[in-house]
Amino acid sequence: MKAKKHLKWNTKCKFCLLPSLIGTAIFFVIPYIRVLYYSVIDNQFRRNFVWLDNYIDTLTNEYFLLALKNSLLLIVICVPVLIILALVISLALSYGIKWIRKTRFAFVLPMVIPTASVALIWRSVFAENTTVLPIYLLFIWKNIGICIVLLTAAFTSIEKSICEAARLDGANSLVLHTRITVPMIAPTVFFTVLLSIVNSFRIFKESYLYYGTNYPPDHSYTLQYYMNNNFLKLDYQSLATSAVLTSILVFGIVMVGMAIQRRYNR
Amino acid sequence: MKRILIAFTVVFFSGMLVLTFTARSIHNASLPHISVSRVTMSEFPFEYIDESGNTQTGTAQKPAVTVEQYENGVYILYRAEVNGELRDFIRRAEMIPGQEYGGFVEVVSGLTFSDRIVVDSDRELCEGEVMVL
Amino acid sequence: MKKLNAVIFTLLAAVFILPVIATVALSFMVGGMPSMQGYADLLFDCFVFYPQFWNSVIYAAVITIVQLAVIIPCAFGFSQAQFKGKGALFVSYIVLMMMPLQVTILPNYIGLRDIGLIDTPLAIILPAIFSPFGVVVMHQYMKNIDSSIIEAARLETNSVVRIIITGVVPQIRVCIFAVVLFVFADCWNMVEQPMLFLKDDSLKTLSVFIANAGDFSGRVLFPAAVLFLIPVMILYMFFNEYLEKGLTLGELS
Repeated sequence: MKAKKHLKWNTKCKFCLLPSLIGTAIFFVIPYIRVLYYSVIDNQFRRNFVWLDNYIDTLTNEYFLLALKNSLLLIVICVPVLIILALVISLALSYGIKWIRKTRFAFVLPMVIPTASVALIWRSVFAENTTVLPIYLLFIWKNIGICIVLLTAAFTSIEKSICEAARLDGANSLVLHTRITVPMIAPTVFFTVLLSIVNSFRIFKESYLYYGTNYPPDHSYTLQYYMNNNFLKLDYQSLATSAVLTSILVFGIVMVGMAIQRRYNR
Repeated sequence: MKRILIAFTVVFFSGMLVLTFTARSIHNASLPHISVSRVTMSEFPFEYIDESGNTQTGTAQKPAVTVEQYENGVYILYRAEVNGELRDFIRRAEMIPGQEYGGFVEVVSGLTFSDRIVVDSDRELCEGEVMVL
Repeated sequence: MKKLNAVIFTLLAAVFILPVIATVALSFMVGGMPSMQGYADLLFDCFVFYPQFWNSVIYAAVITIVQLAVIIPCAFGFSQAQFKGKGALFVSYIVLMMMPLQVTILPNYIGLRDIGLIDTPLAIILPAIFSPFGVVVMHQYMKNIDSSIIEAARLETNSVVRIIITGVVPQIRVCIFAVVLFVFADCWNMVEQPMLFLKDDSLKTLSVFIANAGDFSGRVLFPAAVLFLIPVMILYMFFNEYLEKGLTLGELS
């Protein structure tokens, strides 16, 4: 009897998953399979299988390579800066004096501010488009909020007694934080790094609103521009191919990140 | 603090709601209301010499505006896209007058027959947006 | 030392908040002089603004509310149901959550096109409802809830809906607030979807209005940007204290 009831409960709980699963299947998974299909045919009308030709075309396309280079550059330069800044700020917010804690409002706010609202001010401050710096600053400004939220949440979950014990042992705050608190929240730091890398692929909106055009200067031409332009040209083959390539890249990054995290936990 | 926030939210959204329905009429009320018509044709006398060499007087239809309109300034109606929609505007015509006859002033240039000009307005005219009745 | 730190952080905070303050300040300036003309032009001379403002409000509100109705049961199902491949399924939600918009937007477009929803409000709303972020966050949060309350509720009723409403929702209240803020802000910030899925201008959102700045007289832009950030600022003021408590995303698997 009890086993039967348990079984029924389990089935009911599975039913709870259904709405989300169906929606995800209709709007993400099934169409993604079609995207895969588009990426191996020559065009939508003839539908001949050309297998990897589209991939070879895309991977040798100079704009795709430029876009890929810029996207990776953004990750290499901005993500470390972002994470270190976020770590320092969240340490101060978690362990600093009351006055510092009040400044949290300002650091987290950018996270919810719509990019369209601030793109205007960015445009009036950085009148020249000669460097990619404005985009990098916009990226850091916009993404630091979520990093700080995640990191402060982790810092505040560390028990106070640990820090006090370390202080009694004579550890100064630099040693305390680099040796004890930050390593203790390493899983969250990993996750934040992962999230920031992934978010750097989402910089298109910021960049688009800042430049107000689909053809930004070369240094800011990222993967998303490449894809957006193919979208507007209705070039589904290039679009599908670059979508698949980007998803493989992101999938790889996420998997590596999670593997590192699992290994570290052991 | 929360209470101020709730009050502000209510004020903000109800303000936006009210403005959504009233903004256009407020905007329209602030504009001059005008009526327009095409440039009229009027008869003007002219002199010509017939075959036998005598001077004769005839009449001809020519585009014209009234003297009153001419003195107050002739305004041409045109449409332009502003903020995502087509709207009516008026601008002052640089009209070169010809002869005056019977309360009308002949138009030599500056206005064409297809132009629509302001014939009546509820307030003093100046260049800019208008409401056409 | 402490004072120095406080000064540094105050300055840093000022730098971070400066773009917002500058936007607000510039909205009250026309041609270098303080003036309300920008607001007057926007509110009484630019009528495209209103439908797009309400579109933004309606899309974001509908998405947020319906999304909650989808993700709370889903996260509950993930934490309660036992079945083979649950871990893998959850990991696929995480992977989907990490996918950039430019990867998901083409599948979204194809799905919408096949159902025939392109150029309708549903094109914006439906895909956003099934965004996986909330499921991941709530499932993480539900790991820490008190399961004895659910057990107790199960003795009283057989309805899963009632158990979720009476036993789960009160416990994950904080997480719900955080997710509401995050999801609403995300929808409010949408630019690509309205641009690519909608052709009819009267269905588009305020972010598109500001993105198409060139079509309007320059004076209305900063006031529009300010009015655009007010609703999301209000929500932030209400819920920002819950963010840290609600979004705990440390260990994934």
